[in-house]
Amino acid sequence: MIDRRSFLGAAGATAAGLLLAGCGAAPALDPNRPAAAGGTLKFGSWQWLEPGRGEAMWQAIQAYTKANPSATLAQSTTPFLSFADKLNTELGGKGGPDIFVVQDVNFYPLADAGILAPLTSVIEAHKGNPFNHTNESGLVNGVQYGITWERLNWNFFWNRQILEKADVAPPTNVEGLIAAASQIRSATGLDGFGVRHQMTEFDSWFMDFDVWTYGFGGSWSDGSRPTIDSAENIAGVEAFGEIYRSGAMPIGDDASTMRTKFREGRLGMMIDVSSTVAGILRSSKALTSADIGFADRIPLPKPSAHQEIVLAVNGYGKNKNLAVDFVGWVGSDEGQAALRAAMGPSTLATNVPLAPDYAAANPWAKAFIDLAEESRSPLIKGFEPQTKAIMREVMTQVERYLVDGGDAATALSTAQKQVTQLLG
Amino acid sequence: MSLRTSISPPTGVQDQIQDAPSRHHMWQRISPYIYVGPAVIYLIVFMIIPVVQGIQLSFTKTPLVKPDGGTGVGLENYSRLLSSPQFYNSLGATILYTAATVLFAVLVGAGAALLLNQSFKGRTIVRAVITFPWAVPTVATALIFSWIFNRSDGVLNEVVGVLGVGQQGWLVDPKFGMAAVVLTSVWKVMPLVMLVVLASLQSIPSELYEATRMDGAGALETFKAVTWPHIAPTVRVVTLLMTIWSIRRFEIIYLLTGGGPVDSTNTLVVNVYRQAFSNQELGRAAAIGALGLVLSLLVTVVYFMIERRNAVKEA
Repeated sequence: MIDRRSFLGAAGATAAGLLLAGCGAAPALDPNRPAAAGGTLKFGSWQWLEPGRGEAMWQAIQAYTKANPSATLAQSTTPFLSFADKLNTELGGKGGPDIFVVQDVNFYPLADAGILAPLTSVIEAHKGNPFNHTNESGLVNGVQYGITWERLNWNFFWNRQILEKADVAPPTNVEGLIAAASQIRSATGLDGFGVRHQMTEFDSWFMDFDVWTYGFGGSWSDGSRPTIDSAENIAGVEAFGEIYRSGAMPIGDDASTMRTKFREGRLGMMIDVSSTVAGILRSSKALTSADIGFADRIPLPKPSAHQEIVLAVNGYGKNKNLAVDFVGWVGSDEGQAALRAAMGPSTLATNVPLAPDYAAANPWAKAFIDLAEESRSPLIKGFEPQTKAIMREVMTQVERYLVDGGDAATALSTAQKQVTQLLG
Repeated sequence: MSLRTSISPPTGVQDQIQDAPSRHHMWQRISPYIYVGPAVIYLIVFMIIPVVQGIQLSFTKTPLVKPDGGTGVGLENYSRLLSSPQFYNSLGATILYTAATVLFAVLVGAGAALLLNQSFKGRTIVRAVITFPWAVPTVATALIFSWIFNRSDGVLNEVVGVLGVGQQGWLVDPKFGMAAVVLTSVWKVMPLVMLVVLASLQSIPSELYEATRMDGAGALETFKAVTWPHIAPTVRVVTLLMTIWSIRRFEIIYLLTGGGPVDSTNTLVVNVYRQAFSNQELGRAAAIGALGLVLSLLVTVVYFMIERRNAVKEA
């Protein structure tokens, strides 16, 4: 039988052992270790979870391990909704994956805080097809901290079968869009038009919403002060309010539900990004690519918005040279060609054409890609790190206008005051 | 030489025998600390240090991505908060949510316990079914209720449609947002109240009920004279716990409404999350958390004051 003394002794030894084990650090890699020495790179992305597309992307980047056989890649996966929060928390704790992709609104504060590794050497050593203008999103305070993983452009598309059944011509302006959506609802009983509209999806909705204000030529700042209540922004909010109140939108549906409805042939028209169309077609039994009608641009007077996903290297990573080498490979002709097949209708870091058979089978894809020439970032000029905080105030007032009524000018005037107070 | 001396053990053994009581005494003195030690260490490491650090953080401007790179700003976070209408809106939403959730959860839970304390056929099955919501994971609860409340396809709108009421935006209209969140929360937490009160009801001696019956007391008199005095302390404790849990509840609210519509459910905890992760302002989030802590402490102090007053009355 164990006496008290033995028990306490054993417990103390166990606790001390555990403490020592906990305090003992894993052997650290030399931060100057050359890329040729290889190792494992942990690659953080929510996209690995995307059915079909995630697997294709993962297979595409495995080509890097042929170029550098001493390197291996490992996934670090978090669902999209919590990806940025988790990544920020990990980086705040000086941890996190070696390389990761992140939306530009989340990328900018990280680069601005100086916790990403500079990619100047990647730009300087780059050969072959030149980097296109989308890579300016990776340039922060004059230093290249990221390159374009993909740029997803918002565009307008529809289900040809539903529009034909409702005897509706594809609309070319907001009034036409409202009329078409209402006609689809009355003729078929289906939802006419779907787009994000709820604060529960704030992280995506605030970027999605730029389609409307940018579409009327609006901006959230002039570079030195907020311009929330500008006439152009008010026009964009009013246009959105009209379609929201038209009765032809599935109010309360989140993006996932609307995409499912479109996929199942229960929603007539949508404004969404290119990867959505690709995802819908990949999993739809009701639709083929030929059923997708598409516009050259969103039926609004001015160019629209994009969502840019940037590839970056963790400044706290233990194998930074290898990570930078990987980014260089992604930008190379070989890496871009491998990614093009997996990414489908996205704009990449260099202008890589779609494969002829893919382009022929998916005529809508090129229209989405071409929009990158004129699309605009959701980052607010002059206040880039505060973009999300500013947009939280703006979207709260937009939501108030949508559900409580009133006028858009008052809503944006209130947001202007709140944003001014927020920025001190 | 006395007999006692003659049978004394050798010196070493004698020392051991003399040492034994002192060791026993020593063990008695230190053992409580050893038993309590792990709990104290746990509280210090996981509660007290984080609370102190959180309060320290609330006096700084600290970005989420550089938590060790904060700069001291004194009381600026607090002065900004206390001069911001959003903060008072958030405080109001917290108080409204907490009051409504606790009130309905305790009323419905205690009522259900009183009913399920009666004898009837199938009582065990009914008890098990009513306990079910407590066992459902919170995320699943929020997901199911978001479907129920969905404006275009939700079951609730089907039901009210039959009653002649038009489609309502339960989760998108600020008139209904708080009600939807409270309803979901009450459904989820009510079974716990029921179980606790039911356990208390079952501890009441049946002789007391027989005595009141013999005295000719009706149901209401019996409840006032026997049932309530027995379950009142339990109801008070469960009310306190429900209040503290409701002040800090996050998942149901965030998953159903994200703090909307129009900030109508933007409670302090949701606000902390927004400030910390969306706005990446750890200092401001910590200041909201500190004020939330004060609110929880106030509730606890009020509870103990009521308890002390009752104890004095009973004495």
